Amino acid sequence: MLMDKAIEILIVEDNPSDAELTIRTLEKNNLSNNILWLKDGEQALDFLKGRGEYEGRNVKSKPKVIFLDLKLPKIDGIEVVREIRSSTNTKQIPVVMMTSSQEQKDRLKGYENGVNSYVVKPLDFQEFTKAINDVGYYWLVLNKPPV
Amino acid sequence: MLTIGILLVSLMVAFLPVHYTRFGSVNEFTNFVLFSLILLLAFCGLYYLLVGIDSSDEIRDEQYHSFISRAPMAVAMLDKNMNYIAVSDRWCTQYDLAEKQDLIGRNHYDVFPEIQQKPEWKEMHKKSLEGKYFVNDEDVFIRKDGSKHYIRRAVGPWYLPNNEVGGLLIYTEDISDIVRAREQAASHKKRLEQEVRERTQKLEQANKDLEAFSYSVSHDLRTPLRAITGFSQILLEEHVDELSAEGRRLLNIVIDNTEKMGTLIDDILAFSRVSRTELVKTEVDLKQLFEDAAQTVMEGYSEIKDRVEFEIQELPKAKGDLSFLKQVAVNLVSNAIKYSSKEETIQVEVGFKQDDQRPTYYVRDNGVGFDMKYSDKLFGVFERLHSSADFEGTGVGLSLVERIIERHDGKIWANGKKGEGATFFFKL
Repeated sequence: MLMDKAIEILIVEDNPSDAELTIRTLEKNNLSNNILWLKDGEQALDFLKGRGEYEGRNVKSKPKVIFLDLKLPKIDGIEVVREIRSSTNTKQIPVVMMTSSQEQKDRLKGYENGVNSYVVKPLDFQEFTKAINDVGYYWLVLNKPPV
Repeated sequence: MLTIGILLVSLMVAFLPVHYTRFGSVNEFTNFVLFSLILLLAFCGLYYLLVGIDSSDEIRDEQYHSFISRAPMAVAMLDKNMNYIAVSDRWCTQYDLAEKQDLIGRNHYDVFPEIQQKPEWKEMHKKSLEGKYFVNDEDVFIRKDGSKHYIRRAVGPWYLPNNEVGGLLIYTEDISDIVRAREQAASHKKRLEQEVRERTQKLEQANKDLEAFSYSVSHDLRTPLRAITGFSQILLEEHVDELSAEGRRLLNIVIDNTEKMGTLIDDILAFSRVSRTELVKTEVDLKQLFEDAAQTVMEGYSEIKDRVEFEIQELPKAKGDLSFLKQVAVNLVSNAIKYSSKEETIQVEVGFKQDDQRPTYYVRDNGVGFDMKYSDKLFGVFERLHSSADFEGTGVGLSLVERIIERHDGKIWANGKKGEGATFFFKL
């Protein structure tokens, strides 16, 4: 299981097509092999806090970046980032909001609640792959994580 | 006795301007004046009868009884003990009383037992018997059968030849119809206001629904589109060997159309955003705005870049919402380039004319132009004057521009001729 491997990228995305395209793009460019894809906000928080189906997980092992979708089942992206920021163990993890929403109010809400970056997923596939590569390269290679 | 007339005249003169401001309508005011005049005449008449004619008591009594009895309003003459001496016909009909002969001699409070509920009236009668006058332009009288009457009234003393108070004169007018009409008007107004409130609420709800809808369009419709293009692209890139040339062509058509749909979704969203976003107005440098727009637009037309000649004049600054005006500039410039793209040299001129207080800005091109008889279709949503085989487009761009300009209380119009370019004018 992925549980004992250190997760580099946590993708929280309810749309399987989007998730597959993202993972495919990242893997194709050797950006990460340790990707975990979770389908809703509850799962994401369970993973980060080591509870529920992730009971007993070493929560000291943190992803280098979280790609978080805005609209998620159960607990939405904004609520997830708010939770991440309010807990000492998780508050430093970089969170990139990846969304299809161009709405300014979503963007504002994202930043107000502490996202490190807000990326509107381009519709065009070429642009989409480029965006995923750029974001992946920046957060996994260029950016130095807190620890 | 002379004082009655004088007092009444001064009373009415004093009351008139006060009443004028209190009446709901001119009609009501006219009624009151009429009422007051009749009152004045009545008092004068009585004064004349009681004082002016030197004759025996019987003749005098008969004369004023007959005067009161014929008065064209509800009048009652009472003695000091509030017993009826004389009443007018109208008094009996208005209050639904017995024949007036039967009324004479009876006590006012027996005839109207409901006055027991009105101690202030009894007080008024008492004071009037001491020489005071009362004029009320509106009072409520609830009869013993429960019916509600609105009356206008004057109460005053009448005097014996020896200058002692002989009793009371009461004049009333039923103004229930006027008051009810007024109340009805007020309740109509209230209902209308309520209706407006309800409609506004519904409208606000509709707006919210629309917002939720646009949101869902922006988010939920784009995602499957990306999947279609994405996986088609992967097919083209990674499984190209398994596809025939025709298969690849078809797949490219799928991708093309998906992209078109994406543009369409973006355009519709931008269009709906104009209506539901609050404008933030600042002073906008239009020259800068058009220069930036030209640059942005050219990024998408790299293949014809060398054929384009821009001429952007100095432009007066304008007050407006920067991001929306940016959209205006980009759409107008991109339109100008698009419809001139088949010319050898593409000339786009941005300028202004100062014909009245507000400058008229314009964007002119030397492209295919348009037939003026279709000019009303230029700004319609999804209306197009050219096929998308000739010039790509969704038919939203110019309607978006128009809507933005309208939200700025401005105006946009166009001039053109087929094959001779087009000019778009706008005022902000």
